[in-house]
Amino acid sequence: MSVEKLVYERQNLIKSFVGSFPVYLGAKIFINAKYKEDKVTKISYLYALDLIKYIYGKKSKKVMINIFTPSEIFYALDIYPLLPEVASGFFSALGLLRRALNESEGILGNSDVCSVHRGILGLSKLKVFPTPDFLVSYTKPCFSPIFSFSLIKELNGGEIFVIDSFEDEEYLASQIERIYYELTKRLGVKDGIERLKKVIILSNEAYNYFEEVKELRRDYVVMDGKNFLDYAGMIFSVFGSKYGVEFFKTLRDEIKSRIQKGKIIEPKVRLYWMHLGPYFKTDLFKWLNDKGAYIVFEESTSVSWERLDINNPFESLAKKLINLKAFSSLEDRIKVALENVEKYKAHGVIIFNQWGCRQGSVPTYIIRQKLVREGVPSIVIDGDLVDELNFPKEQIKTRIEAFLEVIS
Amino acid sequence: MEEIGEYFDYYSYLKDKINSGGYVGYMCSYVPPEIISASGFEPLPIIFPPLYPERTDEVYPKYFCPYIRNVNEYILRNGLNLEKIILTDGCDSSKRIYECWKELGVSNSIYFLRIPFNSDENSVKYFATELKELFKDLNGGIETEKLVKTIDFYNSLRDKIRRDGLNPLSIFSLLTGEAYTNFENNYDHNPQVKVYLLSSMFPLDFIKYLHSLGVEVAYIDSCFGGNLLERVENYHKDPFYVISEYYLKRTACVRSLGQEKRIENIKRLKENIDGVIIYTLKFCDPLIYQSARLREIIKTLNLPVLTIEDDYTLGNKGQIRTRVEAFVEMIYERRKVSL
Repeated sequence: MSVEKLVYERQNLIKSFVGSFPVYLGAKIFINAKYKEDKVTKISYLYALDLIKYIYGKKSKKVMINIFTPSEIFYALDIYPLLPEVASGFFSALGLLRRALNESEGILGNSDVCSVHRGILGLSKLKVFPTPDFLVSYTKPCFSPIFSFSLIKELNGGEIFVIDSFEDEEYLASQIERIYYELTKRLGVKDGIERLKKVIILSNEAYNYFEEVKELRRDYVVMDGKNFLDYAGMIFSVFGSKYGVEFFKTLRDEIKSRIQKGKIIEPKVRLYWMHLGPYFKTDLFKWLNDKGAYIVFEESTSVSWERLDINNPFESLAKKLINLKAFSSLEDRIKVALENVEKYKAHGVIIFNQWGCRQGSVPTYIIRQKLVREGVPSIVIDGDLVDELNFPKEQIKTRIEAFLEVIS
Repeated sequence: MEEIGEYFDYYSYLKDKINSGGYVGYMCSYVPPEIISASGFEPLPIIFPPLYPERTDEVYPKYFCPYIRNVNEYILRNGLNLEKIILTDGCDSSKRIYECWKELGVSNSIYFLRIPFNSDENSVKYFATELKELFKDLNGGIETEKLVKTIDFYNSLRDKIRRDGLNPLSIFSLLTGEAYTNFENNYDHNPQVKVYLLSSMFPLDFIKYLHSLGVEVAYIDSCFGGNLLERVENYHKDPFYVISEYYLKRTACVRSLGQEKRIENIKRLKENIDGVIIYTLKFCDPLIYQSARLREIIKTLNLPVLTIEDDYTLGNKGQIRTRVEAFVEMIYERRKVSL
């Protein structure tokens, strides 16, 4: 039986397996052994294993959130939030999203919306995702999660909470606080604020390592930015958890170790990558590396915020959300891009356009024009994050090749 | 294509208004024209005739709201600079086009109105404050009494349209604060089938085209449709709060997660219509996410449903004709059976 059939047709088997302690332990031992040397991947998979165990657990509360919803408020309640957008990318990386994408057309009657969300809908309809108790979405970076969560609610149930994203710290903080206390009430949690404080300490600790990673990358290229495009899932998922601390510490240590061992890459062409990148298997990045071109920094990694204030958790979480400038307004994206091009000494910018992503794609031609006017060679590439059928690889290579020649 | 302006006088009105000034343009049904009128300007819904987007393609990717792309196309082709315009974060396309227009200098005065997705008490209060800020921005101060009088006036317009019957252009009387009134029906066909038109934005020409195929639109449920005809009530004490609540809680926008009011409306009108046509504007996320579900619900009401997908240009008229004609035939068959 193929893995695809197992996932889509025998999912109950998987769900009962991951719930069994010996299987869980076996998987853990396997991951530890297989990725003994690759510690960063090991932490990611151990986190994924615990997440899967949690979301298929019989008694656990299932919560789906979008990428910018603050994960801290869920870890404080001992909830592993499921980020379906990340899961959609993960399934694509495993080559398992096709069936879900096809299935989504039965729900939407249309394939003109973001493929990541089409994947989410297909995975929900095919019951790969658990039945959610709560679906929480922040209105940034886009409205798609709200719409897809609404359909998931129709398909499988759950209650929706929306956090409105206005640049008004007080209003935003009050919304986060209201949702948090609503959840504590529903879950019968009494010491909500104390739990949140503990989680904020973990979030800050992880953030310190994350900042170190960014700093180290200013001076050294030790791995291609494609890896960091893949780590975006962790960046959005794990702040506030012990895995957040472990992941970013391990990543920092890995980069330091490569620097110490002299495993430094000297790219011929240094690229800054805007938006996320394709998650399915493609040789595009290897092809770029073979030409001496490496991604030295990415928009998805350039999220930053002030350390969270343990005494004002909701206000500081609100500030964090307001400070997320990646995938933000045209003005912010240009500003962040120019800063990063300078900081990471990039020779050019690749702006990736995700099919169906209105918020990301509408301003891209103007962003490109502005960057070019500022003396930064830039190119817009139309493609897809999760649907390889909508990714004209050879055409993209031809365009990038010409672009690299211009830069050189 | 026949010269649209000759048939739809609104396009000529819009053009004249843009030339003469004194207006505030808007493109989203969350913008209350009452606020614009009360602040001393004429509200002007920006709806241009469909154009092939040759200039727009140079500036924007293809896959976002064709209605907004069409407005862009008209602006680019005619080198327009809008005097004042309000854009909103009603949808992702609208939110981003605000930033692009600021960058491109499409207007000297672009106001961004933030609209909460939620409609609870706090959200209503937040939006009321936003509306006050908008009023101040346009007028320089707050004139509560003037707003109350303006709401009186708009309610009278709503009553009038409901009394005289909603036709495809009469809603513009409300949307412009009765600045535009020339909306006589000059159709030269005699439709036998009445439908409920569900959409977000659609080209006005679509209504005329349906008419030519024997279909009369009995009710328009779109961004700027019949759902704006409910009266605003109890507004004398705090008009900003009441207007905020009215616009956040009404049925009109398809982005709303609760579609119950919309379904109730269709049920209420069921006896007066033969079916429902859903005009799906390509790349309109709020509508695409809702339309398949709405379609299924409407079917359970024993109403025939036809979905037409278009990019605001009505470029595939032949295909649309074939599908509408088949739909009309099906309705005739149903009538025969029910007799």
